Amino acid sequence: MVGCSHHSTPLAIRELISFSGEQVLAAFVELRKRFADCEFVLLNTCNRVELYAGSQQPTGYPSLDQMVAFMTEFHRQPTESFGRHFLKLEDQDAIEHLFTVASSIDSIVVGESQIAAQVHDAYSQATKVGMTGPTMHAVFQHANQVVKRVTNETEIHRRRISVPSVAVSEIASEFFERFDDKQILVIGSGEMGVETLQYLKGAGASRVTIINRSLERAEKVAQQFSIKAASWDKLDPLLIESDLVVSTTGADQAIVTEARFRNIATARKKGTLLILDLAVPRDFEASIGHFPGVYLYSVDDLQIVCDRNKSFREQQMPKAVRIVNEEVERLLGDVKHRSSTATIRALREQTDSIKQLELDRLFGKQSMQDCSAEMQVEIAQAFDRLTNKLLHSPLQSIRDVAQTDQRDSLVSALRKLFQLR
Amino acid sequence: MPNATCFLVAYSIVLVLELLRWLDGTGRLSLPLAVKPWLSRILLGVAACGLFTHSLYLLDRIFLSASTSSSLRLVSSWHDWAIVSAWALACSYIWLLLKRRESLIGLFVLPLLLVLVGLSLAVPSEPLGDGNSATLWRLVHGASMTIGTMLVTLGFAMGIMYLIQAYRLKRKRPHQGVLRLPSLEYLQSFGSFCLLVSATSIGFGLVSGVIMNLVRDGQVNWTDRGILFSGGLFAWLVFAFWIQWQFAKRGKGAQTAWMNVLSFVIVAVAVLLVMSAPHGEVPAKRLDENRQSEMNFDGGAN
Repeated sequence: MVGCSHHSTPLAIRELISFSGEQVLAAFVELRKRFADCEFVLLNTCNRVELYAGSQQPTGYPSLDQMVAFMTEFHRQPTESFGRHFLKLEDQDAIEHLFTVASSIDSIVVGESQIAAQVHDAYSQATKVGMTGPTMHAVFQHANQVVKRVTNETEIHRRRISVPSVAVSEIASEFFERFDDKQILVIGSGEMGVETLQYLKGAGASRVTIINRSLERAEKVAQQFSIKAASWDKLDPLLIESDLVVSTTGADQAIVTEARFRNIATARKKGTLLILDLAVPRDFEASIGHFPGVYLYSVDDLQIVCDRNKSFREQQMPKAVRIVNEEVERLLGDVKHRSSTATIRALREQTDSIKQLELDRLFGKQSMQDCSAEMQVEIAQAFDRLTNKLLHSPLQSIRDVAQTDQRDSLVSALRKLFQLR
Repeated sequence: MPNATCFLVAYSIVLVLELLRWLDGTGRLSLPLAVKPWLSRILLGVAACGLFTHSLYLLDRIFLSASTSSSLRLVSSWHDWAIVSAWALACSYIWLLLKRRESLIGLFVLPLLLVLVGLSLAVPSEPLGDGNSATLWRLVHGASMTIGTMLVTLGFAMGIMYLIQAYRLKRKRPHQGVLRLPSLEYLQSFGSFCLLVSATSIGFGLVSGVIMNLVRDGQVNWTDRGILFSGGLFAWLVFAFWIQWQFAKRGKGAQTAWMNVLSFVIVAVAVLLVMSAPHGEVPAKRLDENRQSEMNFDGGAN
């Protein structure tokens, strides 16, 4: 594996060597031309560009430097200066890196959920164009299992960490059982307001009104989310009717003062009012939170929850790393086991073939023509016992060796001694 | 056949498991992640076992009363009242557990359930008054009062949870796994529901009690402490529901929860007062008539 990520490579460099959708396909064509026997997967996200290579043949894949050279040459960048930004990993380290990336331990935001899908998409795309084979299938499919284990056995993905998502899924849901029957007012149509709207719609909110100093802008957002837009002068009547208010304006001072809110509170005939003031500086005076039945959360209050969630996710890291290590060991063990199984099968086939040849030669002799069928079976069984007894000890030794390195050397010796292909 | 101790122990284990869940959430106890789903399943299993033995015990009481008396005498003693209330509360708890697995409702409902089962062991199990008369109205009266008191108890748990949740949210300390409770909206609407249905049920119990007296004795002793306290309780619950509705309209959620808490306190006091009164006893005049008719019957037979 060679690649660049947010850990060691500046964004300016990553931008220069990242691949567009069309470039990925062109890169595959070029890789196939240069390294015909090799399997490749190209992982290309906002924070990383990584090229994975694998082969069934020990000499079938390119060197790490050749892979770096390919990446830089493809983007017409100088290999000498760009090459030092690349991370180069082989064998077990490369597999461990992939599992770490897929399970989002290596992400900027630990526990983010997109990366697992991005790894899966990269593998699917490579498979679709025939760039993958047994090695990549084994490694990337195992990466999926690692993601599942990390998701199920740790709480790394559980808690949300962006202010709008925490506002809706962790704060508002403590107040309201459902959102489809709630009157929701979004004040301001900036980026934060739009992101919060996405979460609100996702939670089932349908009676949403957006209000903005520029009605035109409010109408545009309202159209995008199929909600209502209202002019700025309707702010007080809307506050009187609302159950949940999300305020995200860029005003340089509070738009709702305590004195103004007092009149609103008097006119209200509804239950609890939750105000999520995501604006900086704040849109609602802090003292409004002291009114009975009014709960006012500022962006700082939400940020505390986000930070707590982030630190909680980071606390889960050791568990996730342990799972990754276990799974790397398991995958390597499986691969080695498969290779020893193939050797054992080859040895058995070879001995069976020799045995059959010798039996045919023996029963073909003139002196054996009078031999009864029962006797022939007896002789064949004696040959079977002989070969089984001869093979039993070496094969049992391979099966008994727990350490993979020792098993490899035994398998290798067996192949050489019996001249197995 | 199981006795009350069986399900008392089962419910106590469930409470311990709920405490484990809570401690795990606070971080004071770190249960392995693989154990967590099993803890919830074990909790549900033990609660179901408790309810099963509780139900068997109730069935045993019903069949026992049927074999020793000519009439069905469920909810005819203070013991029955406590044990049936506890059973209904246990059913409600399991339903809530299934509906809201993540919430730690059990920490608030189970202590009340254990108090009711404990109370059932402390109060007499003999039927109140003449157990053989006015069976249907007696059953309706007992069942209505039981449902009413059970719902007030459940409403109390909802009220306490609301106050804790509102206190925490006002101070901007959302759960974060520490003590996960249902939303304010859910707690408030459930609390209101409990108060409304309990008022209706107690009212029905009061009316059926009056009819029971009329059928049995041909008269109603309006100055009977049991009738006076039940009437007072009904009046309070109606008033409490109306006040709660008014508070809810004005967004005063904490006050609505306090109405649930206060109603529970008043019901508890009323029950203690009714327990201390000669409630359900047959008037002396009626007893004399009964004795007279029994003597006539014996004389005729001789």
